[in-house]
Amino acid sequence: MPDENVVLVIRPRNCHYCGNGFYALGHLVDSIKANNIDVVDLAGQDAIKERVTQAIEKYNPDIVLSFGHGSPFVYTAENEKIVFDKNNIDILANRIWHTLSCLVGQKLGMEMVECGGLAFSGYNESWYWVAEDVNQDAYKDKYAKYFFDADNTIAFILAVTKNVAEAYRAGHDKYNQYIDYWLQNPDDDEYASEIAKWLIWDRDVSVVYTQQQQYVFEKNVLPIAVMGLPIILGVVASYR
Amino acid sequence: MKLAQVVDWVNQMRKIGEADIPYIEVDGKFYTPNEILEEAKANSEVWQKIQEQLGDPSWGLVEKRLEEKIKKGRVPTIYSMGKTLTPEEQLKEIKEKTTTGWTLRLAEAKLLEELEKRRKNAR
Repeated sequence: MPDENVVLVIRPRNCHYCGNGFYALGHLVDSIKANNIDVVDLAGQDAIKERVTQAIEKYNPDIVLSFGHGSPFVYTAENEKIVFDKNNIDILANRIWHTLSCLVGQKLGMEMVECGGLAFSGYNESWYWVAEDVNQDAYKDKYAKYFFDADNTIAFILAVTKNVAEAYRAGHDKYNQYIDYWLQNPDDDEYASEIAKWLIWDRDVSVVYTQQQQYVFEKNVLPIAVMGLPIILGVVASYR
Repeated sequence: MKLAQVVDWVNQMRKIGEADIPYIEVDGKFYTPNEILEEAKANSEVWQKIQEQLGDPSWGLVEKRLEEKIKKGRVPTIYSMGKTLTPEEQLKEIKEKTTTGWTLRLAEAKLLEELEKRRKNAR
């Protein structure tokens, strides 16, 4: 069985608009380490398939946290090269995987659980954010920090508690806290409602699949075959 | 909705830059919160219809909101992993009804639902 005190973090630097995320996950690494959990930090040039495979075989982490580009079928990291797809997703069997990547929740996340993964946490549509500068540390960016911190909350709680439901709840609480902040707009920012809009979007397209059940925002235990549809249909159906 | 409640609501919408953005469509005409307040003050026939129809949005309203926000410079560039969309590119996606354009509409619809939920809860 995987080692319950080891977390693997994958954070590419060289890919389109990856600067904010690279630095944001650096803060995540620091926070997890501060809780006396060992972190294998595959950053930048180390965020490649070969190194990820080696790290999983050598350190046997129970939690894998990543960000990078995604599609329904693949997760990519440094240089936008594939790290996980259907050919090797079974390497995550008996583990929990959270990834900040667009669309992975549509297919690959489900396949990960079908291949024996304990749980997948991620997004089943594109994850959008706003930034002053996409190359700087997200936590120094007046817009980006809210988006990345909300996602980091999910990852951090997963790493510390190993409790998927708790992480999902904490992440949504954080998204809601920031949505409230922007819809009050204490600093009179010109983009306030737009920032809130994309936080609402990201919250609502976050998904969790486990061996037993799955969570979609405000909708629990849905049949796996219709994942993703309830959110979209729920909105479309209420519009003329 | 009492006039004082409308005033409070419009003030909150001003605070987040939404007071001059269309919020409802009545008989084919779009009304912003500022205009809704004027109709409420006049206790007009339109105000009666507005009260009946609040919370019943249309896709036309969603698209109009996006157009107005972009025209007024209220829309920032957005990013997803591997993609950037300037306000002008967002408008193009909406007009051409691409998959991304539908995502933009859907996100705006979600914002409108959130704003409406807060308006109702404040009453």
